[in-house]
Amino acid sequence: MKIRDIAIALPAKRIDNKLIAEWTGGDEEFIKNKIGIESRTFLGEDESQIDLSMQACENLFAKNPELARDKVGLLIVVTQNPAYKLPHSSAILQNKLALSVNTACFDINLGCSGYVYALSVAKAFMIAENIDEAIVVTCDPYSKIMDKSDYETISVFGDAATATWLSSAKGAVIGMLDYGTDGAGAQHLMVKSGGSIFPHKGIWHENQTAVNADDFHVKMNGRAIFNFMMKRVPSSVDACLRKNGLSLSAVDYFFFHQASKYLIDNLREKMNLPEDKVPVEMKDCGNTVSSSIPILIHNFMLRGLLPNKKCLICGFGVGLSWATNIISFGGE
Amino acid sequence: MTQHEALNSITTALRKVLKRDNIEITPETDLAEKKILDSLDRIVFVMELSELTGKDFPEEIDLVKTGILKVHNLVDFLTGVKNISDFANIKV
Repeated sequence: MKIRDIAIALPAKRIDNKLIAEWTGGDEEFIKNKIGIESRTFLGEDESQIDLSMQACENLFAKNPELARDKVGLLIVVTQNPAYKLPHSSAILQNKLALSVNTACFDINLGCSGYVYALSVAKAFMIAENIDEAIVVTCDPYSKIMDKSDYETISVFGDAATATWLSSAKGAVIGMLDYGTDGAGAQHLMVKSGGSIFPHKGIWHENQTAVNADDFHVKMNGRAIFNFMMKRVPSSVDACLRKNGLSLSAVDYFFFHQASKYLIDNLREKMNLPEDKVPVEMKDCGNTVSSSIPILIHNFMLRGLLPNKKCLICGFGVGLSWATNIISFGGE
Repeated sequence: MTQHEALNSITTALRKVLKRDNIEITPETDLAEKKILDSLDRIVFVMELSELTGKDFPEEIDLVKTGILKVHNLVDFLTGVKNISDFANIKV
């Protein structure tokens, strides 16, 4: 099962650092120079995660006329901010995209490690069920869960969607996954309310005022996330290389989750990786959670930089969760 | 750890984070208030200092509000004169 193509979609509403500074009292230059973001896009009030996911899928179909809708056997949506609490977004999307009712549809509830996990889940499901064509969608619009005045989150995150076509016929080969979870750090990136512990409304929670409205916002302990990443990512990269029988020097590009420029620069220095092998491309979109890695691959595909290249992809974040894999591109 | 060793560790960590040698600090310097370290550099500074000294800075504490980024507080913490729980607003 191979990666055939990727399409992306960004919302129309673009938010620059000046506005973020107005909202939060933060420093525009700091966001640009250290976090690495000049602007990001947010969904509008009347736009949903489904709208953006649809747009990414329609872009994929438009780019690839040979991808017939009735041949898609699997649709996975990676998100923690679905259109509805239930049903799953992939079911809504199946109908809106006019995919066959025989399409297996499910969501994967993961954050920044989600795309890397989803590729392996899709690969395994396609092999197990003899499916030839699949689509993996990522779309996690944090604009819907951020507090406008919370500098730590709103300066960093942006909304985006991606759609990846996986095919049994040809494309880039998905390698062996390294993965892990450290739930002891779960509270460091969390939306506290809305689940069954602090429900919005339920049999025992009929009075909504019992729930703190601010607990519906995402909260991030930046230092804890930084420490987690510096501890887990290098060892996951090593383990992934071992599983795939590769040395560090055999990797052409390291596509790390685009958390922030500062974070990736520190990681690169710690791992002694060459700067030209570790791209940071988030200045126009911010940290787009599970979409950041497919956006990077898409951009490099567009520039024709990936034929015969081996790319390491590594996602890390909410959970705390991490996953690393190798994608090997052929000469096509 | 002596006061001298603690100050040396602080200076070493600052040089590494700020990527320059000319670091001037006194016991009264507040690394946050004087804007020697911004919010991201603070994270790496504390991580480096922790690696150099073996002292743990709990992730739950607010580095600025607790005042632990004042040099004399850092020295007291590193030399064992104060525990992390001695700083204001810390519940460990």
